[in-house]
Amino acid sequence: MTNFRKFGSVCAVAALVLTNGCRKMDDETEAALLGAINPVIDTCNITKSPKPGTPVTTEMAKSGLPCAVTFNQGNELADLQLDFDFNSWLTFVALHEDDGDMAMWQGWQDMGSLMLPDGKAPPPFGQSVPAPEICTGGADGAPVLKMISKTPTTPTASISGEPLNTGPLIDQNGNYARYQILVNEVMYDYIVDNKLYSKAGQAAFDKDIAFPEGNVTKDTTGTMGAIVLKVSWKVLAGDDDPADFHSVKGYVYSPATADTPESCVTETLGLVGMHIVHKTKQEPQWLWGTFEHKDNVPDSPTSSGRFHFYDPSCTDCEVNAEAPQPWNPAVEPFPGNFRSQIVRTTTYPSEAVDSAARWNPEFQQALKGTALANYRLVTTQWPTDGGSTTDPMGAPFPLFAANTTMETYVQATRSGDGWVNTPQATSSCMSCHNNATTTNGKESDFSFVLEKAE
Amino acid sequence: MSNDLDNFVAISSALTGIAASKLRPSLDTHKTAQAYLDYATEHGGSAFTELMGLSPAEVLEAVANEPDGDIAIMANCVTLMWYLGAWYFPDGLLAYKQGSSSFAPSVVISSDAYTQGWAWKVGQAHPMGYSELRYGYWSGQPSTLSDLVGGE
Repeated sequence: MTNFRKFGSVCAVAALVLTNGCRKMDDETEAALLGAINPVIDTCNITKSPKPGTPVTTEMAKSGLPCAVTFNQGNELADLQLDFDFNSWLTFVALHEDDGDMAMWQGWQDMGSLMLPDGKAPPPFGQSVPAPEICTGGADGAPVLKMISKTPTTPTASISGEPLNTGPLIDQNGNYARYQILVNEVMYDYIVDNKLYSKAGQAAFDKDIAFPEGNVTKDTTGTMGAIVLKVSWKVLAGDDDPADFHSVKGYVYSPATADTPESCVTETLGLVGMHIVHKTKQEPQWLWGTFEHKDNVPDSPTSSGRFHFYDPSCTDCEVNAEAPQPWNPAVEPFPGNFRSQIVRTTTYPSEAVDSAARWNPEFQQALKGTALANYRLVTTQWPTDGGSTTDPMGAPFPLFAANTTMETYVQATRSGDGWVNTPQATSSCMSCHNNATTTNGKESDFSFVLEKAE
Repeated sequence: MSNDLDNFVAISSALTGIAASKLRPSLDTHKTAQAYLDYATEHGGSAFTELMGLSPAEVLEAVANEPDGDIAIMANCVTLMWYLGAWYFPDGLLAYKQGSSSFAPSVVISSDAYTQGWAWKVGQAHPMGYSELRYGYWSGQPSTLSDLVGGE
């Protein structure tokens, strides 16, 4: 972007004689820069969703990462939901393709190595800042998991992602769930090339924030666009079977508090939730697909089964209640034998329910024998009118969407003996991220990442 | 039911002045029209059944010719439902219109109905506590009325 600014100055000097030519050059230069950030590739997955009666095959499930949604079902809400959800499943599977000894996405840039103290420039893509000195004995580049929720006020939430005052999630072993936010190389490059990792860089950036878009131009040729992941993990312990999870060995770090010293231990963690957020040309409000481990929580209170965040034998555990404070992840298991008792309470329209009910068993069957077969798509939120001139959110559908490991306490509100979705109180990806800004109050294109700059 | 819904939307459009395509978009994420039809069918009694048997032009004619008649009051209820997201009880609404009551009792149909009330959009505004607009929108011009409600 520096070069672009220099070029802009030259244009200003020569404006009287070369106005039109310089404008053309500016456009071309900007396009070239954007092209370097979001390069044309020829490997976009354009696999169409199969029509009813044709099952998802393993080959189809593992066909690769889509640059954008390929439509095949029809034009009604139910048809489109099927295509968006199919796209989410393809993306989820592709992101877990092994890239060496780990899934592709695990090589992406963690927020902790992107938005650094004092606005320092981040390390090259895929590289991490050094782990805290106390973290030793793990593999090189092992993730350091600090976040225990999305709450700015929790002790380890110096890198928090959301303006939600929600508490930590405690599994049945008494351990805190841990969280990560990661960005792909396209998004990383956009942030770094434009120096948006610092307050100073954001203040100097004189254009609208517009992250690069995924798009398919012809056949499998296109651009990938920006992708953000929010990931939730649980420490595998007790009766947990690592084979049931996509897992990682990482550092579980807790900072010092007034009562406890700094700590860092190496643990095996199992994936329990993942938001996949992808900006595409047709969906400038981004696509919001969210996945969970199938054994996280029940869809309603139950007295049977085994869940990571629900105890069927506990009849007096308050459902969806936050853990009592203080919240200190250095103290595990959670004091007082508290365990989260979480039930899925967000309700979804029939189109979303039916779509997930079709794809989940088909993909799980196609992925049988792998850990990924133990995951389920909750839903995909997408804009029905991406180009709306009156609604910046593009009329999202479904109206609400929540992952029980990440929007645990903003799923729905109580109404009598049941739960109802309530605007501003029930999680909606687009409705929340529509408010995202930079540190100087500029719209930040649905991403709270830039808000973390110092 | 589809014919009922089409008819309800056509009558609603005639009463509110808002384009049918706005009341019931082709990709209808809120399904407000269906929710309102269901609500009015349950609570509107025979007057609503009678209203639904008329064409939009006939409804407008009934409102003009007999403004305190059952059809007109029900038409008022439907109009208010769209604009305010609330169901006004017909008897109370009639009493209010005739001046025998200073208050027209109503019930907000749902939280979604509250946020989707067309009064907000016609006012080029948004309900208290809820906005689809982005941070800083107040420093810019609102969308045009025709963009918000359809038509010229």
